[in-house]
Amino acid sequence: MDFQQLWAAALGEIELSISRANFITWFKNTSIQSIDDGCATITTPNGFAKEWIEKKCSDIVLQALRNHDKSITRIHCTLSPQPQRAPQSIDAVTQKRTGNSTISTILKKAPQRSIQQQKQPIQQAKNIQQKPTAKTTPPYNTCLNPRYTFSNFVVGQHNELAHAACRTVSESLGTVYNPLFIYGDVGLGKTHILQSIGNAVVSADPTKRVLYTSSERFTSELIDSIHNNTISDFKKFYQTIDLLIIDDVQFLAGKEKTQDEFFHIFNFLYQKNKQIIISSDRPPHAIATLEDRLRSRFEGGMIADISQPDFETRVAILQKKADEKDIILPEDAARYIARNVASNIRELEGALNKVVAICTFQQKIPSRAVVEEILAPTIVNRRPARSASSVIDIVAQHFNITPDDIIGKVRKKTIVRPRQIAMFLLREELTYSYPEIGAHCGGRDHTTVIHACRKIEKELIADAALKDTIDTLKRKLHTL
Amino acid sequence: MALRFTCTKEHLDRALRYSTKALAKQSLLPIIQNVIISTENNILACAATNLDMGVRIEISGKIEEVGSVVIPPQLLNSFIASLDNGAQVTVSQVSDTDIAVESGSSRAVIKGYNPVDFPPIPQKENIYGEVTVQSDVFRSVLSRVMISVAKTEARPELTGVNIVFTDNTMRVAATDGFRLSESVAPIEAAAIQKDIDSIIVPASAIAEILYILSDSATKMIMMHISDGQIFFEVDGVTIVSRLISGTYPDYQQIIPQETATHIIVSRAECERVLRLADAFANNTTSDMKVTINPDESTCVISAMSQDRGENVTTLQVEAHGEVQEIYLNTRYVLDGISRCGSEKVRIAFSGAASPVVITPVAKSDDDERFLYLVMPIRK
Repeated sequence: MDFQQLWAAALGEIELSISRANFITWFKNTSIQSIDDGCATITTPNGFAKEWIEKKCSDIVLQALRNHDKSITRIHCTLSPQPQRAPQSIDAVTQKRTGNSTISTILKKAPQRSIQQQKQPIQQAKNIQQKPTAKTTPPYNTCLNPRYTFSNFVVGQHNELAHAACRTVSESLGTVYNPLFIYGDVGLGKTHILQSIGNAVVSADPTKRVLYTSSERFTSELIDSIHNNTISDFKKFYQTIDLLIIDDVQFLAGKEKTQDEFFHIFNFLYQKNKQIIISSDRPPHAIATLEDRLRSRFEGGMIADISQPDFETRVAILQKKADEKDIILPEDAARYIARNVASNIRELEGALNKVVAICTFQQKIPSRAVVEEILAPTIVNRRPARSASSVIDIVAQHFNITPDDIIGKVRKKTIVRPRQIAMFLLREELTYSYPEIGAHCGGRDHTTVIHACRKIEKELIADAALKDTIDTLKRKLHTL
Repeated sequence: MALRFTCTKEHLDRALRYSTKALAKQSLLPIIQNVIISTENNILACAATNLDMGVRIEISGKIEEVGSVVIPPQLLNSFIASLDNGAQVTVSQVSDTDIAVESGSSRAVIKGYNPVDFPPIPQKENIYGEVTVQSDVFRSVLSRVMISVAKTEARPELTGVNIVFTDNTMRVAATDGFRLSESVAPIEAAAIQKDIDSIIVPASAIAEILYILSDSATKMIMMHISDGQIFFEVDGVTIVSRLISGTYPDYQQIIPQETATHIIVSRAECERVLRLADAFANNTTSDMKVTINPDESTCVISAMSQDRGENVTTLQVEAHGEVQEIYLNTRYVLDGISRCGSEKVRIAFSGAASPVVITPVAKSDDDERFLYLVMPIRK
């Protein structure tokens, strides 16, 4: 057993005998430096950890070490050795690059241990701690949150396609829909459904290597690896994965080098029929500055969207969450919340949490009246008074024309279309009557308005771009 | 083992003020958001730590019983703040975790934590170097360079102050990549092993010492350097801080050895003109154009922003060398000039893409040196 294994094993035992906070605070970044003549020398990152280990828990540490190596009789702590302070190479002076405006670019960066390296011992300790015998535990972090599973995911009309696709993918990795691209607005459950796939795969077959990561993390790992000259390790690691889940891929936009590396990893995994799942807040073609070759690959698999849940689904979600929290939420209270919090599921959960917290605290039953009282202030805020003119302004702004154009008489196509959309929104969002809408839009006849609304309604069924536009406008209206 | 002591309000207040600054703002371990007060070894002392830095303050007072307590400082602070100046405070332990505080007719009980769980503050050991510096010299050199310490964690070694010791001087430097401050001052006594002659001290520890020095009349400050840690001793206060590992950039190489142009200008006037330029400069880039014309002995400073307006000031200066035109950040230049401390400052240029060096025009018998360097903005 080498020092690293010995220390990992000892840490596993130490963790059981002290509190978690203490364990993380004091044993992070520690290791065994040497064992000499029965004295184990432990390196600590700072003087406080050294004092703590030596003075407060040397018995526990010694006992844990002796369980694995009887020859150890004493322990001793020392601070981690400092990196060498060798004089720096001075290639920069001579270069004297003209026009560099920061010192950083001239001065070379000092050698620094990578974060991953430092985290290693504790990570190992954790793995041993969780499943001491299971050889199958992957020796890396899948980054999955076990809280997200299919069983607590509420399926409604808004997400049934995405759900069905994810279900299928989790049952037959890499063969049916590859890559799977899920998109939808914030707080609608993308992360939940993505992680559910990962959790389902891991629980069905623990030997599968699953990795859930955000594109942001992917980028920073890539930068780290470039910086530490471990880019080949980075690639190798990603190439061993059976199921790669990348969340919020829109953040790759504009990062060319990252897109490049991602492209190669993507191709490699795809060639080997490994499953790739990607999520974003908009469809691939709407992500600006995403390279074409990546875009076409994303579009080559299955694309499923998650839209806003309808009223019935929102009620069902609330009931499910209430069940999880083990509280009784009367039907009319649930309806009240669902009706008033429409924009996304996270906010819905937030509203429910608030109700639950206050009701448990005040020992009340969350009846309709109580819920109304609790949520009234937030709901009032969320529903600003909207007027016909604000709707027209938003539509005009979106299409880059003036509100007067909408009200005016011009019948160019570029103006007629926004005008019709404005009428449609006035009908849908503000429930104005047809003559009223006509009056607001420059004194038009009510039949003109009826024609406009029907036209948009009809086109909405087939035209996805129009639907996107309407959704965007609605969102703008709600956040007015 | 039940602690009991009496001391004056002022002494306790000072100890709490110093230790509150070193507290952990948030931590996995709630106990380190508190201070420990102990009378062990017949010394009344108060200590706090955030695990990067620890501070221990000796309090003068009368020890009646030996023990230690860990309490949140805010409540004790509120209690003593309500007392008259010079009031005597008696603190006694009433249980493992709680203390009673009494003064005159007021009495309070404060709930705390069991001192057994408080992390011990590291003690001096394996000291490799000891340095003594006059405290006013220490204060002046370090407060001059602190402005240039990097505010972001992107490069850990730049979040501290670099101190290099030679036989009878210390050279202190800080940089954030856009500007650099360096100050050199004499030291009183030093015994240092060669391999630790350059250290990086976290800016937070320096800030704490400067705070303590700002209301202390003490003459000398002692530094003890050990493996990865440094101990500062001043006026009954010990501060221990980790040292930042890593190599400080060899900044000497970017200080231009020869300058093409230099001007000498009154510091007060220059500060006034720069403040004005800053008011007009673009809010995000704060850039201004500086034109030096030695033939006319002028320095023209102009700043403009698209949405606000523009401003041009011509300064009559003593100028030598070639014509220069350079773009600089007004705030950075202002920071440097205002820290010069002398009546006149010398500003040296070596081209539109080379750093600008600001130095005070010091009296000849001044043995403290200061240099401030700003990188230009590329247009």
